Amino acid sequence: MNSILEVNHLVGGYSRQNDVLHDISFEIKPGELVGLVGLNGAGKSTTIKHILGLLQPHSGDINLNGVGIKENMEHYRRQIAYVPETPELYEHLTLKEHLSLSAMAYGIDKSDFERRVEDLAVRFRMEKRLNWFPGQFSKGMKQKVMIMCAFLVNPSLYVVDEPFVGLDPIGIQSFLDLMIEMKEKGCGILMSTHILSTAEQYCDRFIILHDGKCVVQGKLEEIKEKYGKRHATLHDIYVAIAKGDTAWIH
Amino acid sequence: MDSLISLWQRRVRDYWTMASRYWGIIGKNSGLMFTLYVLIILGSVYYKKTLDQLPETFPVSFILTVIFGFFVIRTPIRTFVQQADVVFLLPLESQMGRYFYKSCRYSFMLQCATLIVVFVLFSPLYLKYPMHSVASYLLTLILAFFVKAWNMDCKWYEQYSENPLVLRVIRSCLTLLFFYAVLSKQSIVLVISYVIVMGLVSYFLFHRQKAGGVLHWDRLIAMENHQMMLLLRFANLFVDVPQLKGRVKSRPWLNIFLKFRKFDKVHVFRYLYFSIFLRAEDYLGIYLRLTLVGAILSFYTDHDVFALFIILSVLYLTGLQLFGIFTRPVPQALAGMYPITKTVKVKSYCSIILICLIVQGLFLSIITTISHLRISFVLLSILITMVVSVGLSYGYYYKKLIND
Repeated sequence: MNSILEVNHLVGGYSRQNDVLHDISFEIKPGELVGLVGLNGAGKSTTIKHILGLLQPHSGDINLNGVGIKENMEHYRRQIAYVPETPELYEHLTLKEHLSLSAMAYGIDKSDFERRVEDLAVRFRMEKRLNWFPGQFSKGMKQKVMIMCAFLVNPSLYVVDEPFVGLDPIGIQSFLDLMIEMKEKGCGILMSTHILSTAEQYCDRFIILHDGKCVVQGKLEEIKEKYGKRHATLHDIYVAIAKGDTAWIH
Repeated sequence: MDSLISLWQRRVRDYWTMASRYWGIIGKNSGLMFTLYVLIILGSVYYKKTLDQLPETFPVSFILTVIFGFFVIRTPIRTFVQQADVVFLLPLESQMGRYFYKSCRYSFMLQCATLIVVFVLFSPLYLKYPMHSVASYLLTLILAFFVKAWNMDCKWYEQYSENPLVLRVIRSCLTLLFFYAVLSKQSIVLVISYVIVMGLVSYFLFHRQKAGGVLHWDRLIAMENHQMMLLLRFANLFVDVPQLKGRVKSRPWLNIFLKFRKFDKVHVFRYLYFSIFLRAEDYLGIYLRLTLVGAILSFYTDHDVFALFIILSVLYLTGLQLFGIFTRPVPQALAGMYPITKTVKVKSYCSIILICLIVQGLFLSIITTISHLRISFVLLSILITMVVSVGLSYGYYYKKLIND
């Protein structure tokens, strides 16, 4: 099966003089939910920025369904939906307008749009707030707007950065349900998170970053086997790596 | 608490540093100074004329009561508190007596300075009447300081009240009654009895608020922000004030102009830019003000060439002001990620600018034609509108943005 996302030997960061990421390689196949975990500053957000095409790789390449962003920006971006760590909205547009612009930009037709807005608004309990401005929203509601925009547009890859912060339990559940539905449709999802218990439950594979390097990746079972303790949780492994106990990896 | 006092002093200093910087910029704006001089000279001429025409029966005491009353009753307190203080200073509230006392005293002194200016401004009106003397005017001013101090004290205790409106009404009525009694030279007994009532109300009503209520920090912060905004909003007429960036007004009555004409990629940025024009940063306000000034000027200009020049200038100035619509930051995770090429984006921007300028140019042409009823003028003004609008949008801005 062809991969949706391929990251090959990516070296990158914010300036050429200072590499933040060192030779990172991984791929995401259709129907896979991949967890990207690591401490603050491990390079998760930088990796995500490279995948979104907001940063230029210093070396290595990133392909989405076999196409790089340089070859066709429009086509590349069309296939990604992104939920950022901190919600950013247009202060002067209503929720409905946010959704409309996303749908238009990603080429969703009008009747399809109306139907899906209805569904998303009900799932996130925002049906009465479609004509509200972001100034009236709490942080969690703003995060819901970002999630709704992302799940409106039919991409092949979802990139979600710390999606649970500020969401209420209903919001978290609806978000997880949507991710599962999209997986079943054959989408790939890359999710960066610190909520390890949820990640453990939902992610098919993990990529653990530490100091800009991909220290270990694979299914949780495989990682546990490598670590040598079958009853270890993702949390134990994560803490071990963070404390410098990395001898078992090599 | 010495640290609270030094915090207060630092905040006052920071405020004045910022304010003097803005005033420096405003002062250097030669156009403003010139306008001010003209206004002051014109104003004084008309002031004198109006005074000379006033009848003997003019209710001067009443008018002055209203004017002085307004400035004495309006008693905002500059506390220099900030939103974050609700977290950091709230635990220290009981030790902040000196901090707030200094704030009240500072506000009192500044407002007394304002009162002096107001009194000077209205001295010709007061002294025009033979029963008034300079001495009685000075006495009124000194009494005004005392009433101001009383108002400041009451205003502070209003901050503890659940229902400050009632207290404000009582305070206002007493202040107005007092001023009217003084200005219309009613008996000294009446004036003294007002003073006694003020003292009693102060003791039995205002000072009691503190016992029964809590200090409403949100109101203090709102009052402080309002004061701060007065300066910033004024300065914003001349320079970009960063604190005022990102202001948005929903203006729902304009939504008839803001429709999704077609549900496709091409219209995404058109909608976005047009909605920024209508709702954000007051681009619409700038646009309407420029249009209005242009319409008045070109309407009253006799000469065709001048009128055309005014239309051209207004279009050009508007075009420059609207450039910010393109450079205004948009959410990276939304607009930055849309699968839409730069060419489409730039073209959308140019089309919005073109529409705004053509509408403005045609409006100015129509208004000006009313006073310049000549077919040659109509044709020329429409020609200028078209050339400037297309030239600025699809000519200048398109080239500039596409190569960036």
